[in-house]
Amino acid sequence: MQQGQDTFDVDRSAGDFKYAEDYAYDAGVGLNEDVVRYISKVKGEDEWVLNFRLSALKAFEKMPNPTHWAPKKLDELDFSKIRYYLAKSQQKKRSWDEVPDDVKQTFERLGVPEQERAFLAGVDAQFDSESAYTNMKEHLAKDGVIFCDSTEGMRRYPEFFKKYFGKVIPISDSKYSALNSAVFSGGSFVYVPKGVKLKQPLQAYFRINAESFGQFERTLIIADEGAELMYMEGCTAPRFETGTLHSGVVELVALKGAKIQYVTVQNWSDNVFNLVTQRGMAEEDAQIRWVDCNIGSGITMKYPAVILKGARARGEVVSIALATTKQHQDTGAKMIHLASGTTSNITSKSVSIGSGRASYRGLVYMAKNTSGCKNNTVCDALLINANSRTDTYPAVVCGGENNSVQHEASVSKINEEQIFYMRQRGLSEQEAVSLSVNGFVNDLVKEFPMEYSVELRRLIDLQMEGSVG
Amino acid sequence: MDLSDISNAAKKAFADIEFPHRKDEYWRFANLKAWGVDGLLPFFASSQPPKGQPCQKARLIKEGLGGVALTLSDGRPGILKVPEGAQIMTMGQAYAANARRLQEFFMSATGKLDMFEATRAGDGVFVCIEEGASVELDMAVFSNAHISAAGAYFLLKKNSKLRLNKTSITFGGSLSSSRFGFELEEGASLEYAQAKFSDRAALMFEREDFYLGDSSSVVDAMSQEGLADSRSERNFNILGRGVSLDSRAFIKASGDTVADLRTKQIHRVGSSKSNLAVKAALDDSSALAFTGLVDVCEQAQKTQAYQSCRALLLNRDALAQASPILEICANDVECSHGCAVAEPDAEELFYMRQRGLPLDIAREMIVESFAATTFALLPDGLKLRAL
Repeated sequence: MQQGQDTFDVDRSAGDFKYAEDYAYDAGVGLNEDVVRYISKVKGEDEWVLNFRLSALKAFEKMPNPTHWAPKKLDELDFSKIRYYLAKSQQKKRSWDEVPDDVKQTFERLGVPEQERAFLAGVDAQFDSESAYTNMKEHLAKDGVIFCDSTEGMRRYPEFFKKYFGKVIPISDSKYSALNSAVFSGGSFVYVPKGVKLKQPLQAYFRINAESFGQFERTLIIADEGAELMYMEGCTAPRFETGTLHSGVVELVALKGAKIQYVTVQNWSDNVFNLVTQRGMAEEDAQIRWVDCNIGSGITMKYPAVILKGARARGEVVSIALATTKQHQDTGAKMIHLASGTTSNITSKSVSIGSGRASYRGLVYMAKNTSGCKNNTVCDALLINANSRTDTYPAVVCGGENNSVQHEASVSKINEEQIFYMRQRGLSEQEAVSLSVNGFVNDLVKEFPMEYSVELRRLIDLQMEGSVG
Repeated sequence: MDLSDISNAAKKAFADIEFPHRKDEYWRFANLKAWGVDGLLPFFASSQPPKGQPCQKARLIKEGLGGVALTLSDGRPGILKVPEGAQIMTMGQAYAANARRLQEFFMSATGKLDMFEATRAGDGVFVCIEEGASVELDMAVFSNAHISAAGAYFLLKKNSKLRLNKTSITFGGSLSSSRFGFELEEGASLEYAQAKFSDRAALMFEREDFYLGDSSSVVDAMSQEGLADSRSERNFNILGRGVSLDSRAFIKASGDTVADLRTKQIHRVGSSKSNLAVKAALDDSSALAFTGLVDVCEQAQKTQAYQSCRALLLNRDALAQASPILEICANDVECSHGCAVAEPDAEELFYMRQRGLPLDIAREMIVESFAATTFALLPDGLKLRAL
């Protein structure tokens, strides 16, 4: 595939629409203490939450952008031109009939109510800053499962929030986790009691509708001893003239023997700065698995992490990234082994198309006081066009006794013999390349729930349009 | 511009360059207690330089180097024998004919320590291997002074061949900063074996730059052992087509030393091949800090580049830190890297102990076999001298 033949006409019609902006609550443009106090007041928060927000604001203002290692594009973000809180209502809705028409139509066009009926245990649909709709199957509530938006969770279940909130990802973890901690709004709170195993997934859908807006959802998921759950999130935004910021924070807590699987498919439009902090803490014999697909956004910086705190805990990250022209997918994974007998696995595949750039950035850390820990990391990158780019920035720190780490990465182009074979059998070059890319990521796509994997294959085909010719 | 101008410009730049710090990705894993301002200051504050204990091993290595043709003692050249086909000159003698080359070489320094070496641009030697000649050269670099700088530039003209054996010793109480340049013209070939040893209470810094022209080839093997922290920076600039590079290193670390190795394989032009392999055996509470970069530029299609880092942990307090980086901007390439850290295989140890070998001998044999491939591609003579 030659340089210059990489023009794209990707069909983003599924997410590229918006409705008029008429908000009852608007914190205005720019960030200062008044904005933080406004958000806290509107949400009717306790004083400890306000103090948490204010100390996070101070940390955010002190910390520089991490551009000594991260892309310089971060400096293009102008925090003074972003709107930090926009909401149509403070009332949560339990039925789609109660949701305002334009919001309901948005989620209907994205297929959310249909998915809820078909295969989900519960849905949380967030429109800009606040959750517009949250519902869960009745029998789960009887089992003691809690699934609501974070604002409600913080008000009704302070005992969980005081114990776990901001503990897995502290305020000063990074500039963007500090920013989220100052202005967070929305996101989900999930608690699954001891021994309860959810057979169907919970889903959150994050939608940005307003221009120059920042979405800062905060999700806290706690799986009590022996509990199991799968949580899926999807993200879209229409394409605006100005940049949009999405800076979420997700904290997972898997107590003894619990299993959490967190699935993300983001398909933001290409002027969204997608800067997300995701981290889980796994206690003894617990398992945390991040399944991550990054297709959209202008720049994504996301490194799902697992802190393996308890003996024999297990962490896994499965990641797919597609970077098309003007996109930079800077993704990766972190595995922090703090207890003996812990194991982790990272599998990352990226495809760079046109002048797109896909980077893997990872860390595997095994502390000196651990033994019998194992990690295996595999990163494969596929470059489609002559001007495509891929990078791999892994870091391995291994001490302790009887620990082992293996990392391998490879970069390749599409196999010409494969393309020739398919073309001989009547496929066009576009179809052949598309099929080859789908084959490259196929073993990871299978890790997604079936409904998502079908959608993923379709999205990959769409991304490939115009990449050859 | 003459050598004193280069030296003066370097002095000015040296003052402006920051000391190594954590935010520099290439110093990310380094022991900044040794290489930061607090670690370096005692060497530069000459009133009370660090004192090292006399080391028997360093003395023995030096005594065993009786027949070397070229020495650099704290940067001062000792030219004892000039092999046929080679010219060995001081930097001052070589400067007139190689002004631009040497200006670019010295002014390409970017860090505090390589810039320090450039402040003594007038010291050191320039070695030229004549077109079509085949030369063998033994060389030793000694650092005794509390701040010691040594530099050498090797120009291998068209179709020439150099078999170089280099031994570097940094004695206790010395901060050594060495800089070596290797320029290979079309079809030139370098076979390079080197052994490095640093004594207690010393710091050993070395930067090597390779500029590789069309169809040139390098087979390079380095072994390193020491009682003090060290830092090696090795830049392989692949500037021509058909280049073949094979670079291997074996590091044996013990005590509480940190062996720091930073490599760059920079493919500016396509159709070349590079392979870099680093192995480390880490005992006691020693540590490896490895950062390696494979950089393939947009026009370097048909490149093959490989990089591997393997570390053997011989003690539960030892630490391996590795960051093998790929930056690939061309699609028709084959590039990969691998990194593995583990202890000696328990089954292998069991097998040897069952046959009566004590544990320490069995472990030593495993380390020896682990290191054995490092010098495998070098001719026997060069291999034996380096070992």
